[in-house]
Amino acid sequence: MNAASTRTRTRTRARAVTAAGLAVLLLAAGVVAATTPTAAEWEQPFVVHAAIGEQAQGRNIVATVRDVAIAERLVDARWRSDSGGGSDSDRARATASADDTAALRAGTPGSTWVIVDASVAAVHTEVGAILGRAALIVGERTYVASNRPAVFTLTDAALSIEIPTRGTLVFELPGDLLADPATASTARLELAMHADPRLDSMLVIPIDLTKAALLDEVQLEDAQWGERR
Amino acid sequence: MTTDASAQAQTPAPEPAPQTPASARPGWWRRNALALALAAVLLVATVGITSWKEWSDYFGTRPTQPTTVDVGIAAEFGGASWQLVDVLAGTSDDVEQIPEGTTMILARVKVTPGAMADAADTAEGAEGAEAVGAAEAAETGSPGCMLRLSEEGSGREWHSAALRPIDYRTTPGYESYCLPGATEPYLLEVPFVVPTGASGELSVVIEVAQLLPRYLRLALPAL
Repeated sequence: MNAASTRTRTRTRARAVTAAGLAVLLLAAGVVAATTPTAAEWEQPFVVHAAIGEQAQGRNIVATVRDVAIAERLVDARWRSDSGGGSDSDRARATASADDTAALRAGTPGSTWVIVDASVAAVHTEVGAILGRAALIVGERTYVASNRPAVFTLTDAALSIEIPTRGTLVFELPGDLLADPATASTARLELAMHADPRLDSMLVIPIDLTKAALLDEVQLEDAQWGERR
Repeated sequence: MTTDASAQAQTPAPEPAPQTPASARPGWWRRNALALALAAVLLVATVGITSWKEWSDYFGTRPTQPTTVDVGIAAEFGGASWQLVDVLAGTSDDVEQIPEGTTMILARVKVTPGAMADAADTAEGAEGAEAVGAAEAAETGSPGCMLRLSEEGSGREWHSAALRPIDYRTTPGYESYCLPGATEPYLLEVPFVVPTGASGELSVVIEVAQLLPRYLRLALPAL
């Protein structure tokens, strides 16, 4: 009698323990499933923040953004932003639509240029070291640096260890860029070695476009490699 | 469970237990010992084999096994003999075309395709694979290669600066790239521009794609 009741109690306790264990396992599985990072999360770039004028250093990229300006027109030795005709690659890209091609040839009326003056260098290896990503993010939109100018800009510039290449990055944006000051004041510049910045350092520089100098025309020069006498 | 069972065994039972007392049976761990041991072995083997495969693929395609050669010594590699014959260096004070605070290093390397005779002189190299490489090269000429400048310790690596705006032209009589398929000896000349501080333990790294992960390091004299 005594032994039988003990046995029943033991069995009940064992069942309770099993049920509790199962519940804990289910709960744990749920927590793991709910909190597992997505690919976008575990592949995200290693972000390094820096302000304008400050040096930002990542794994194999170091950069300083010196100045940001906004201009209506860009001019270099062989190209004007308002006289039409992008680079060959731009034209090739635009062949999809005759309208686009016409628009490019006629220039892009109503566009505004954001000009970033920066210097960029590699840190420990020159193998594969180029400025593959230079993007300006304004609100929801991402603009990559233009390759329309004829001069050497910093776009895709080959980087040297400790020898900064100084030049410009130009971004072509819609003319109503400053219409929404809240968005324009919280733009940011992203610089990285690969066009796809995942799993490597990405330098992020916040840019307040509402505080940038407004110019009619900017003359572009070739990027310069190192300090010269 | 076991405690309960032993407690039960201690209690004076009115009737003898019909079965063997639970305490006498071997425990769950003991009964499953063999399976558990096998599972442990399998777990270790699975993790080991998978990681080894991943790491060997990763390191096998990258320059991870250097053969380091002292200054000016000829070394057999990839079916050719490589020898640093000359190094010219000048800071930005002397060479006005290069950026401030930098040093230009001009490394000259003699490449002798299929130099089996030289292999015997070299202490390094001349392993089995080298001999095979040399035999192949005797038919196909010297291999194509990639040249870099590397700094021991810091691990910094420089590309040739031949395409930089420094008004550099390869000296007549020298080649600026490896000549795949060459059967006659030739001289390579590669310019590097490094920050002036970087002068410790520099070497020219020669990589032949087919021979990775092995590569050659020709030590440069102290600048």
